[in-house]
Amino acid sequence: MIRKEEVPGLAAMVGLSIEEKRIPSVLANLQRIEQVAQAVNAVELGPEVELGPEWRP
Amino acid sequence: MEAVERSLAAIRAQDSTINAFTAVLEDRARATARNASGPLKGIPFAVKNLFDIRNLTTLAGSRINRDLPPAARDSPLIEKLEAAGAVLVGATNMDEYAYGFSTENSHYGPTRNPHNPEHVAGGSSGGSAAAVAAGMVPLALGSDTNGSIRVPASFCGIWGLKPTFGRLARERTFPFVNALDHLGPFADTLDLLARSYDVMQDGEKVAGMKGTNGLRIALAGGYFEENTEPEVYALAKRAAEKLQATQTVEIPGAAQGRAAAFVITASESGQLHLPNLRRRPQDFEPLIVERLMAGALMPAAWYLQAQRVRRWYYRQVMNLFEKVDVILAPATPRPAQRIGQESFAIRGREMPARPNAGLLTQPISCIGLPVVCAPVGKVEGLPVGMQIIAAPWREDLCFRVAHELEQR
Repeated sequence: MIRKEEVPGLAAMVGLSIEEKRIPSVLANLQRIEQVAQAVNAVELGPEVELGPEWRP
Repeated sequence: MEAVERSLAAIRAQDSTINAFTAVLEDRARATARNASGPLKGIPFAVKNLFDIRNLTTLAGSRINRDLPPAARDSPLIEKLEAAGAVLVGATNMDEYAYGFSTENSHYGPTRNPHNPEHVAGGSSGGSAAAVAAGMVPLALGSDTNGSIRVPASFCGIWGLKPTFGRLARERTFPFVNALDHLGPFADTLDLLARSYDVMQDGEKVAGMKGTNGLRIALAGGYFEENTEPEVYALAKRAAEKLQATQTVEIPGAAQGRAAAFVITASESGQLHLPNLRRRPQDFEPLIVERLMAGALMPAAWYLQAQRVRRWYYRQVMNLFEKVDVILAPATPRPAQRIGQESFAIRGREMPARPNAGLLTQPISCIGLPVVCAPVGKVEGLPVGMQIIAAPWREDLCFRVAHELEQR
C-alpha cells in the first residue's frame, strides 16, 4: 500500500502542498482508492480494449 | 398560478425543517407563471444548485463558488421546461460539488428526509428529492454521476429518472465527473416524470407508454443481492413477482464496474478541483477535501485501466441484454441512515455509510444505462426504491415496466 512518507512527493508532482494535519486522512483516502483499484487492475485486458465508451444521441 | 402559490406557501411552511432550498425565486416564479403556457403549464419545479439560473450564482453546494459571478443564462433544461409552461421556483441543496450520497453539507446545513427528519434525504441531489417528497414541488431536476438521482429518490420514496448518458444536455451545469455525469428529473408521479422528460429530450416520447407483453424482465441477483439488506431485497423481489419476472440474472462484472466508477470519480474530481485545492483548501467541505486531494494524487495508470475496464464491462452487459430486455435491482442497500451516521451494516458487514449508499447504483451509471427509480415500499418506516434498467437509449422500456408496476 502507499505509505505516509510517499504522500508529500506525490503531492509535489501536482503542485499541491498538503498541511501535515491533513496527511493521515489523505493517506487513508489514497489507500482506499488503491484498495478499490486492485479490483480494476486485476482485470486482464487484451491490447484491443479501448477506453470507456461514450454515447451520443 | 395557484399551483405556484401553493408551492411557495409549502416552502415557507416546511423548509425551515427540511432545508431543501438554498434559494427561493418568488418574484421570478410569479412573473413566469403569469405568461406560462404549454403541456406543463403552471407546474412548479426546482433545480439542484449546480444548474445555472439566470442572475444567480451557481453554488454547486460550495462556499468557493460564491465568488463566481451570477449566471448569465439559464441552463438548457430549465429553458426547455419553462418553454413548456413549467415554473422555476428555486434552487436546492446538495453535497458539495456533488461528491456524496447524503446531502450533509457543512456550508448550507443537511437536508432532512421528509419521512423522518432525523435521517438523510440521500444525495447528492438530496434537496431536489426532499422538495418533491415533502410536497413543496411536484417536479425537480438533479444530476447523477454514481447514483445522485437514484439514491435520494429511493431514500425519499419518489420517482426518479437517470436517462442514458448523453441523452440530456449538460451545458451550463457545474460538472463533477465528465465521463459519468448525467442529468434527470424527480417527480411525485410517474406520469409527470415522463412528461417532463419528454419536453427535455429529442427522442421518442415516453409519456403514456404502457404494456410489457413480450418483454423479458429479470431481477438482478449475485452482487445486487449480496450488497442489499434482506428486507430491502425482498421488496425488489416482490415487485419483480408483480411484474411476473421470475428470472434472476447476474450482471457480469458489476463489482469491477463499481470499482471502475469509484476510481474514475476520484481521479477526475480531484483533477477538476486541483487549482482550488492548491489555493484555498480550507474553504472546501471538510467531508470531501481530503478525498479530492487523494484523487488528485492517483497514478494515471489506475485511471486508464478503470476506463478500459469500463469498456470491457460494457461489452459483457450488452451481451446480457441479448437475453433480457429489462433488469430490476434494488436502488439502495438500506433505507436512509441517520444524519451524522458514519457506518452501517449490510448483511452483517459493517462499512462506511456515506460512500456505500451508492453500491447498487454505481455499476449501472458506470456504463450510462437508463434507469427509472420506482418507490417499492418501506423498511422500518423509511422508503426504498428499485432500479428499472434497460440498454442504452431504451428509456421507453424503463417507462413501460414502471407503468406496469404502478398499476399492480
